[in-house]
Amino acid sequence: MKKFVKTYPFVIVLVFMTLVFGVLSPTFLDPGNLTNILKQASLLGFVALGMCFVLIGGGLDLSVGSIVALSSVLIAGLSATLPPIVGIHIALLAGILIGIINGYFVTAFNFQPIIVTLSTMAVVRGVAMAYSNSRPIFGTLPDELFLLADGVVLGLPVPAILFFFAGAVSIFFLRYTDLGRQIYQVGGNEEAARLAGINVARVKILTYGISGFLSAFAGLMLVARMQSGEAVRTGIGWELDAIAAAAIGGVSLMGGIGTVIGTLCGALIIGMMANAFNLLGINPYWQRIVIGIVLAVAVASYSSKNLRNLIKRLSSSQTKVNQ
Amino acid sequence: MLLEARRISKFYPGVKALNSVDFSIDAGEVVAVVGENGAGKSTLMKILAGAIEPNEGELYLDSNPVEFDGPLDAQRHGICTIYQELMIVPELSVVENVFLGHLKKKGIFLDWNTMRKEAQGILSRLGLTASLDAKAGDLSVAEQQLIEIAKSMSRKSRLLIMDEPTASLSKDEVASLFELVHSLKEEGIAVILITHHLHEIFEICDRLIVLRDGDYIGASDINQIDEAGLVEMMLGHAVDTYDKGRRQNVKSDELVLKASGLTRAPYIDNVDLTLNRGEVLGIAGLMGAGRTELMRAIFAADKIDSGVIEINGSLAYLSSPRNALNQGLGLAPEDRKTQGLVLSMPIGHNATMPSLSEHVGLLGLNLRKEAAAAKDLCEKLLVKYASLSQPAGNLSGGNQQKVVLAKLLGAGTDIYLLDEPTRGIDIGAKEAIFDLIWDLTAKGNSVIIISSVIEELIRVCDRIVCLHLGRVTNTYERGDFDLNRIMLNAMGKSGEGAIQ
Ligand SMILES: Nc1ncnc2c1ncn2[C@@H]1O[C@H](COP(=O)(O)OP(=O)(O)OP(=O)(O)O)[C@@H](O)[C@H]1O
Ligand SMILES: [Mg+2]
Repeated sequence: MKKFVKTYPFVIVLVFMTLVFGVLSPTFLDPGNLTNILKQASLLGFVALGMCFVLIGGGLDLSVGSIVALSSVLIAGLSATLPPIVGIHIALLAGILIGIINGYFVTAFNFQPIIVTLSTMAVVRGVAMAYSNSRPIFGTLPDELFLLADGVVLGLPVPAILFFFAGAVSIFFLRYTDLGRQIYQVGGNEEAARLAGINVARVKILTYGISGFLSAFAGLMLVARMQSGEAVRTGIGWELDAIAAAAIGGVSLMGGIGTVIGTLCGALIIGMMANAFNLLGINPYWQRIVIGIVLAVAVASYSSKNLRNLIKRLSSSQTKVNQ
Repeated sequence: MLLEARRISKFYPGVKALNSVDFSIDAGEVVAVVGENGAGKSTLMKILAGAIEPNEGELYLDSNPVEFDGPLDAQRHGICTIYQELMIVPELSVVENVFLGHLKKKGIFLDWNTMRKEAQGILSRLGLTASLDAKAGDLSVAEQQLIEIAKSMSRKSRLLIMDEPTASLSKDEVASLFELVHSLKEEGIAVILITHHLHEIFEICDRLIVLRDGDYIGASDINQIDEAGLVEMMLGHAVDTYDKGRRQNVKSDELVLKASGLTRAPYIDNVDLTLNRGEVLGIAGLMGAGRTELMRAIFAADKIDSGVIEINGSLAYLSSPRNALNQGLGLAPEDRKTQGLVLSMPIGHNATMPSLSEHVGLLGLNLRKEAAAAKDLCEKLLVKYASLSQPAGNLSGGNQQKVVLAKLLGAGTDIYLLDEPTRGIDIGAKEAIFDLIWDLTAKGNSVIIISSVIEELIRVCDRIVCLHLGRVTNTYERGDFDLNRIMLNAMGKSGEGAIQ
């Protein structure tokens, strides 16, 4: 039990929050509302999952929100002239391509990830706005597409099923493939990985590509839910939420450490907060403030743990708290 | 008593790092703390330095109980520490590193003139030739070690703790360090020294204490014990350092590696090198001789300016370490922390790093098979661990070094490039590593080895190449080995003159 708490503190936070919000708001624990939370959290969940790969690999991706926006306007816009399935594929490929471009600039020129992805964040947002004329696009979307957002299979909403499926695939990939292991190695110590014969550039580009793909996929889910694409407000601030979700789930911003389960719980925690604040009628700006604070607390608490493990230095006050 | 520690215990999950250990030191005393890898030496030092808190036990400073509130607090009480793992900030210059955390000021401005002068003074006494403005991360491990030493000397301290400061230093540098220690001693400063080069203890220490598996084994005045006795105390048994029967002559005539005209300015200059099947080739040289750079050039870890490498008689175009590994070359790098290990990753996953693809099956990685292979490798290298799933950063320094070698062994290459493989390794495990090297060559592999301890090269090698300022100055076959001449060649002097 003690070990469980130590390895999965975010699970405790999740349970605790469920209880607190359940007491505060009578409708919070309604099955309908819980389903709603799953639906909402899954959107951010895809993006956070991609961020989890990039962060473990020692990178950072700020362009995720812009990719969501571009993907949403591409899917809606292209549906006017092309079969929707083609438009969807183009949008997903665009996401992957942007990720690969991010990874290429980070590895080929040794640029800082924050600078590279900040640039793509701006460029991609600009392209999406130009493509959509900064107006929502409705296109001619088929009804089947909306099932992605509203369908229910075996009592579970489709977005949640897809979300858990993506999580399961990611867990398998990170744990049971050598490429997945290499992401930890590159993020943990790039030079050691290189000297052990690992193709560092390939691994890094892969993480950005995964992030681009999952962001574009989140864009698809968003179109299914909103029945339209929009470029100006879509995905604004999602990079922060995604980083926060990953960090809450124990992914180290220094690279090399993190789990998919943690990231999924982190996304659920953030989704739950948004939902509860809504139910309780708290002004949305509080949400940003609380997310910011939660992020800081999460990073601080984990990084002191990293310090303990890695540099083995501990400020004595913390030891006293732990004992 | 200057500092006294009573009944200190420190527990980690699955390990008793220290079990009720006593320690004390007087002003002006030099005390050695001795023990195998993982005995608890560094843990004890970190407790004395306020870097970690013991689970049990008390500290007394000048006979008054103290509790250090972090390493800074201990420093304020005059306890200064050189940790085993280097704490260099790679992006900063040499002088900035020396004064890290205690920059000198004149008014509100930083007093660089004084700092440069002081740093230069200490560093040249220690024999560091690198420029004060060089980026510390670009320097060799030995040079970084000298910076760490200078860093601690530049502070006012009453007790100086040195955790394996000599592990990567060569004879001359050790000698200048010990001169400094002598002068500290005369000023009444106490020094704690940890080293696996036991003869150094007899050179400079007044007293020693021995730890084994976290237990306090005993203490002795230096003149009441000899090296054999100390080894027995350390390990609980004697060590066989007698090479007959262990080392076989298995060097064949078949050339496996030939490097011609290797150049990478300004480190190595037109170096030719050959290696035969079954041969152990040593590279001797001082700091800045280009030993590490030569190895990295062969392994394609750095881009070279010119030169060609032939493997098994055919030209090898090595473009990356990955490429080199595929062609049967393997490197155990010099610095375990920055190049050898992923400290955040489990010990087991580190051990299988270059050989992971062997464990990929139809359903992905076979984790059980991988863990078994990792366990096997770690046991071969005598790694002492609580669990293979713990991060490698939890291991003691010497045990981390063993994992670097285990990793390379797992890669199963034909040619092994070992850069200071015995750095920080205890004397028992060192013999095991020598056995391993001889075993590898008996199986038809070849080894190139760098060591700052020339005696080690003389024991283990078939041939020794001396390097000075990036050039080969001489080559000796086994049988012609001569410690003094090799040292002179390494210093760039002709060995012949010394004999006459
Ligand atoms: N942070 C940690 N977490 C878990 N175990 C630890 C940690 N730090 C040290 N240990 C364990 O404590 C024991 C003592 O380690 P310590 O570093 O003191 O050894 P040492 O005597 O300095 O060895 P070496 O000669 O290899 O440097 C080892 O078994 C080590 O694995
Ligand atoms: Mg140690």
